[in-house]
Amino acid sequence: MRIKIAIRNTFRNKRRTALNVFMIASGVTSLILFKGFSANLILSIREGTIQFQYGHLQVARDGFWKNSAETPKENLIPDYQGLLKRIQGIPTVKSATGWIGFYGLLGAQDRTVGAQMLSLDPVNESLRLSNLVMIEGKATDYTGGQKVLLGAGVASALRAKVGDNLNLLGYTYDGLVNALDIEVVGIFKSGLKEIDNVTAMIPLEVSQKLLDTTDVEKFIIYLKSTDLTEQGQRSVADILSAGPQGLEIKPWHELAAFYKEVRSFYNLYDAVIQLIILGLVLIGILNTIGMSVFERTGEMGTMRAMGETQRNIVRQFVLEGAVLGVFGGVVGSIAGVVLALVINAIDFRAPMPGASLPQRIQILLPMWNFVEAMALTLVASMVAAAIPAVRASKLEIVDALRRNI
Amino acid sequence: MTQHGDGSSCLLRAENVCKTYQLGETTVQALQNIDLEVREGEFLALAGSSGSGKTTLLNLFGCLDRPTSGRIFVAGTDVAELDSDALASFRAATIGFIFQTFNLFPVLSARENVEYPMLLNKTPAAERENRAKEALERVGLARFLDHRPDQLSGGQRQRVAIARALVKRPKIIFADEPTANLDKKTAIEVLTLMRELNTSEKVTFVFSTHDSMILSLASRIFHMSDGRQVPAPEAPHAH
Ligand SMILES: Nc1ncnc2c1ncn2[C@@H]1O[C@H](COP(=O)(O)OP(=O)(O)O)[C@@H](O)[C@H]1O
Ligand SMILES: [Mg+2]
Repeated sequence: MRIKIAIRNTFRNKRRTALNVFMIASGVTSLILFKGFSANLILSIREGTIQFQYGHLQVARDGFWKNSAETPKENLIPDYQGLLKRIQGIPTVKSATGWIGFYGLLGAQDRTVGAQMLSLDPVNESLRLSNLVMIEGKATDYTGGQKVLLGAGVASALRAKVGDNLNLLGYTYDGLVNALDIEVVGIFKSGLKEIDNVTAMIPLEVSQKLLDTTDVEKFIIYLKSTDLTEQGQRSVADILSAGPQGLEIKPWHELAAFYKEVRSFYNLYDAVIQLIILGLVLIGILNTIGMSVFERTGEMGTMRAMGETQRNIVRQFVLEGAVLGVFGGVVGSIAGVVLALVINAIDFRAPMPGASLPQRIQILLPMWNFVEAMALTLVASMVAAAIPAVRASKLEIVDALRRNI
Repeated sequence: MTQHGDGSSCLLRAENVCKTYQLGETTVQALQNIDLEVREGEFLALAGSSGSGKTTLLNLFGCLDRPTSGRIFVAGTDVAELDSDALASFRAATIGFIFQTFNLFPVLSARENVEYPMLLNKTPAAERENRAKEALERVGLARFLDHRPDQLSGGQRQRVAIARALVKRPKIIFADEPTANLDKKTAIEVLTLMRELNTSEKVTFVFSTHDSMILSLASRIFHMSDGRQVPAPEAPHAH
């Protein structure tokens, strides 16, 4: 009966209720869109970090992680092939590959540019390869052999084009200078400018040939999904415990310091925006709800004469605020879903921090966002009802009763 | 409860009650040294012109306000001893109100309005509905159970209000100018109904009015002027 009364009172003044529902719904819609947008942003930064930079898991010698080895040679994982095979056999593992990174000099006619030469396996890291956006050349031409993919910044520093032959110079693990000819088959943007300005990708066997080794520095392991990180880490640890000593696994979240910073920044940013949205909703409805409560001061007097306590009266008005909040929340959620689907259907791209290419805007709609958005606005509308109701219920009963005309 | 010689007990008592309102610099003496006893079963009218203190006295008896000095007893309880929550449940259990402006809840049907007081003492829903229906039948509104107040005439609204006051079986019902918003004919009908209920349901009524026609239906009249009790005035000359 109390809820029935609350519902009827809520829809007593149609125009005012429509206004309140509109404001609460706009709040919920904005929260859902904003949270969905930023969830997608964080997710794409996370996946980008994993796919382009770190993989899900990496395995290397302790010395490699700690930079404690006397010489780079001590960091190598010898006879890695068998171990890698076993890791590739783990069901949660999608692919695993050996990796070497070194600082090389790329020479083209009259220019020489230093670059971080990173291993990229055309087969095992096909996803990483396909995620590189080729601004020149085709990823399919990167098939192994003495070929190189240049980051966009490196290519422009070299004035290099697809088809150019470059001279790659480096030091072997034994300290000798070695050189190779490699062909530029593509120029890429990875999504992160920091990477594009300093990196080039070459097949592992080219690095091994130049550096005169049959070993690798680390394994990069890609799992079937990021959610499997812990499970995958345990499986890899099992295999390592039976193998050579001194190898250590690091999951992506320990490696990706940048991602962690971005994430904690966005969490703070989210909280501030949510607070602003809620504040606007609260200010928006406080006035109209306040008017409705004020107009019903006489009614409050009647209720109290009949024996309602002040507490119960405030509770009744808060219940009405809750009805309004639930109604606005449902309307806002529906509007949020519709708008999100429209936005997701449009191929809408915008530049994003740290990304060298505009990223497609997607709104994620996890259940949790609805729960949170509705809970927050529900609290806001209950507070908006409680404030004037508490004030009005403090009036003397006889004064309140006089407001009945 | 005080037992009287005639066997009926004293339901309300005001002992030397004063009520003053402070309006800035000026002090308004709304009630001065009121002594009044009301026995169970009375149908008492408070009579007096506007501003004579009728509403103030009803509010004190109805436990809606407290006297500046003097004591108020309702059903044997010194109401000064109850805090505001205790007063609320005391009112819910013992006292019914009828207002000049009816004060029905506009969003509720006649029946729901009558059910409302029973929400306060947690009467089960089915019983609430039945008792509300009975009470509305009792005031002649059997056909209007589902009408909202704005679909009812003034007289019908006041009958709903009477049913609402009656339904929780209070010891006493206070009615402040219950007929002031009604035309003469309806006013007499409404007051006649109250009088009937006074007898049949054995509920004590105290009502106020400044209409001499209505006064003739009272079992006793308490005349007031400027916050004091005054003797009955000379019968007014017919125009
Ligand atoms: N809340 C109040 N503040 C100041 N004066 C009041 C208040 N309530 C009543 N009064 C004054 O007390 C006197 C008695 O009022 P009231 O009891 O309403 O009379 P009645 O009901 O007989 O018309 C009047 O002079 C009125 O102006
Ligand atoms: Mg009055």
